[in-house]
Amino acid sequence: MEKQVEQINLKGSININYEWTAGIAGSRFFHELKDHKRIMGTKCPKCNRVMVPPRIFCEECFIDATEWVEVSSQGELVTFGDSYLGTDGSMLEKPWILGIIKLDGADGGLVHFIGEAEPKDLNLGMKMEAVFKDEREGNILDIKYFRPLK
Amino acid sequence: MAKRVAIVSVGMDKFKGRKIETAEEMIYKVAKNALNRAKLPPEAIEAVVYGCAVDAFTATTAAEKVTIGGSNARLKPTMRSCTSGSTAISSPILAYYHVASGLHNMVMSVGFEKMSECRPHAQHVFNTVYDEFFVRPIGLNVPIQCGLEARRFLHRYGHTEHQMAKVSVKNHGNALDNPYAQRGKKVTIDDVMSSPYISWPVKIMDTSPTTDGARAVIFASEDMVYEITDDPVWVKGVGHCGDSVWFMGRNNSDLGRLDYAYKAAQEAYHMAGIEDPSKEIDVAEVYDPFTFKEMQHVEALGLCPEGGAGRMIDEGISLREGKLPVNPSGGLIGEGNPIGAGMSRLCWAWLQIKGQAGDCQVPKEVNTAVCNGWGGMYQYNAVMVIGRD
Amino acid sequence: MTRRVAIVGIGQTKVGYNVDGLNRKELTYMATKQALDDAGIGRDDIDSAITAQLDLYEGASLSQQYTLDSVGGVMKACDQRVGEDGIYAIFAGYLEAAAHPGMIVVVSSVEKSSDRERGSDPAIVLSSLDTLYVRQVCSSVPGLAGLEPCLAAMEARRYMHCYGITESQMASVAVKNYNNALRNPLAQNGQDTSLNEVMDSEMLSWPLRSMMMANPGDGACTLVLASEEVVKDITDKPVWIRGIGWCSDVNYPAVSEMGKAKFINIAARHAYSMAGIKHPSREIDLAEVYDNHSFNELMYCEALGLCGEGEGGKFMEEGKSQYGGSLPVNLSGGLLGHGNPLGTAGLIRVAQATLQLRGDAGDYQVPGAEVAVAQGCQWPYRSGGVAVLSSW
Repeated sequence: MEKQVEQINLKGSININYEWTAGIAGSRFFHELKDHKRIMGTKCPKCNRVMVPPRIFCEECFIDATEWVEVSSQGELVTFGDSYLGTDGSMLEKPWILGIIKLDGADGGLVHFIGEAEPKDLNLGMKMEAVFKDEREGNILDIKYFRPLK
Repeated sequence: MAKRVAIVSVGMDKFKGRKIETAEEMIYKVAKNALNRAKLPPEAIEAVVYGCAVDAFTATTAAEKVTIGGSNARLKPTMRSCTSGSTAISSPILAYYHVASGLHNMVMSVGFEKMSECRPHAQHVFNTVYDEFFVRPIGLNVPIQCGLEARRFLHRYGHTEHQMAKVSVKNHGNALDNPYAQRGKKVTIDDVMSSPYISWPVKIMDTSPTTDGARAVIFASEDMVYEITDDPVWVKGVGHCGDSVWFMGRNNSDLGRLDYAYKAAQEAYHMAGIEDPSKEIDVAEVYDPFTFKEMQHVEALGLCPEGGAGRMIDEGISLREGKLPVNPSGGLIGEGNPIGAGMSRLCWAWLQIKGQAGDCQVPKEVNTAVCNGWGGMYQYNAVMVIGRD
Repeated sequence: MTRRVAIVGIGQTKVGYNVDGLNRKELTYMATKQALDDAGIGRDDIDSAITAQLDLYEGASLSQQYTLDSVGGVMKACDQRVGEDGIYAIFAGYLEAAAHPGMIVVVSSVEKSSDRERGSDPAIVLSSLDTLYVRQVCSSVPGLAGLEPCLAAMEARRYMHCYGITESQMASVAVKNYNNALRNPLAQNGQDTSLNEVMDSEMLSWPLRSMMMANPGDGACTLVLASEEVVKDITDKPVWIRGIGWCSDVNYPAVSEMGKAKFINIAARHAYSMAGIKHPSREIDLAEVYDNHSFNELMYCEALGLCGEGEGGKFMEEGKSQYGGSLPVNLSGGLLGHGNPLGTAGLIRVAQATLQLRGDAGDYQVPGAEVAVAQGCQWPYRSGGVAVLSSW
């Protein structure tokens, strides 16, 4: 092999902006969140599951699911994870926490921030409730976080 | 021996520039449509194969993975093919192999694309297809790339813009009878010739739109197809072939001659036992993202002699009532071009054979059809021949 | 009966960060050349070429296309581009080879993690999260670098809660794999480490510590498959693909059960059924498993039936999965020891298992290995596949 040539690297990035469609189910879900401060799911007419996130179909029975049902904004903490990493890479004093909450009455739930709690206060299976923002925009951040039910 | 594989159903739904449905919702509709058409329960589908061209359209890695529920694929084997435009046929070919290999008896192929979500326009994403060192910085985009090819094509064979315009008139017009089409309309040759140039010789009216849409196709093994239908439409031949990605240095005859498409077609016809496609193919649904592409493909697919595409359109051979109708559905130009769902060409070929093409039905007996997809890095072609025994 | 398909050639570059200054196409060429030489065939013998990659990891759309020239696939009538982890290239290759007599298929995957800006991997993770219900939350966490550990920790926590798996058991996987990697010349992260060192490594998100997470790496891997009619003309050491299975679960939070990998369990059942394996814990001689996070090795071993449900920790402690144990796991070092070339790691698992069954694994050879299982997946999606290989 000939003398090694110095490696050239090329910097670049792909910057693409998006405007995603919420879809039929998502549009209704986020309107309900925004306008009525409630979490809704769709119900399968065959197996009676109430699905969150809502779908216009039940993937188990594979039929249309068009009945909308309000589900509780409370649920069970399935699991959570914490991190002390800050925006600028520094270490935070208190961690931010993400959790999966299975909502009562629903088959499914949400991934969201956990607030008003420290990791040591949290146990898997404990009851949580959603805290909504006062000013809502029609997206998942209309929920501020979930906190342990008092 | 490979198992024989038949297509037993297709799933159709409207194509639109921007559909309100998410990708998953779009897929649900066509999956359901396909199951209902063949009166099959969802459990009958053992595996799902996806065709979705470009994750960057929705900025979702493995974009099909967020559609598992709607595809009736929960906890089933799923696999995804992506060969850009040719995903239209390469993904049903992958589904075909799921069955031909003997591994599965019934497989659904789902093609979909949501092109409407990226801003400012899907074209922005196409630039990311190119090699980052040699091509992307130059700003090559799809229209210019196609201009490069089309120029060579016209030069080599003496075809004209006028002939390209006739293809546009044909396909836009055919799409008027297609209930799922995005852009069926009556256009004249003058309309096309006076439309603005994107890159000579390609004008706006020579192109297909960007589209959201989905399609589904159900494949079944010979071992059980007669439980579903007594008139199976068999997959007679498949072929796919890719040329070098370095299009500026390809070792082939001419940029305007799709050597790889000829080869893919030969492979498919050989498998199907077809020696003279211009006589043995009854109808063709070919990949026409641009008018000149339909012309390149009818030649590569042997539907007319090499260099004969201009004559084919001039003499009305490829009209719906012609001797060898091409894109009686309107093709991509008239129906729309959601890249992964270009599988619609295969769906329409099947509908024609089954006599279920509605107002798009060609007025002749149809037993054998061919369809293809083109894409990759503008160097890939996938071909499928289907028909009755 | 389906036609039998064997692996007749292997090529794998070493896994590292910015390996030898090679770009993606060059890495692929190196691996492919190795594989073709290993099989003793040339480009003319190739019938089909299948590449598997995931676009956004590469910074290029249609990334699988880029390497067509490098795998010898130009103008081959029959090929495919698969948008999945590399192990799926084996599946797609198998399907083609099983359908055609005497077919030779080259399957390949490459990943250049070093092309991505360091620290940009959170963007990759975000791209796999549901745009409407999950991504916004996850993209607004204060420290994005903490996202992957946090998401992994969520599963780990659930796994521990359900079955009593301990931190020390999870850490032991890392100790094993880093040490195993020392014997593998292709692995980049081999180190002579101890339980204390792993348990003292930086806590990222409880219980995930930095040494429990695989580092990104570059690497390419190419395998040559052949259908039975031509196998004996090519090699007298074929490794037969006895069973394959793959499976995807939905992506909705709180719907799929966490703490168990049902999708791998189902994939494994398909593969074992095809291979005629009824008791994997007894019939499998070694396994290559996807350990991007160390606890995943335990969870996937359970799903693969190498130990009972919930017994992953015990399996680790009993020493069966150690080098020299009765069912060694990740003798190659796994992803922890190799490094994680995202989207290619699954194919490398197959390559490493194949090396073992051919008796070519050098310092980390399991004597008399005859049946192996290799598993890959596509974290954070619940989607993956399993291949069962044998030397007969």
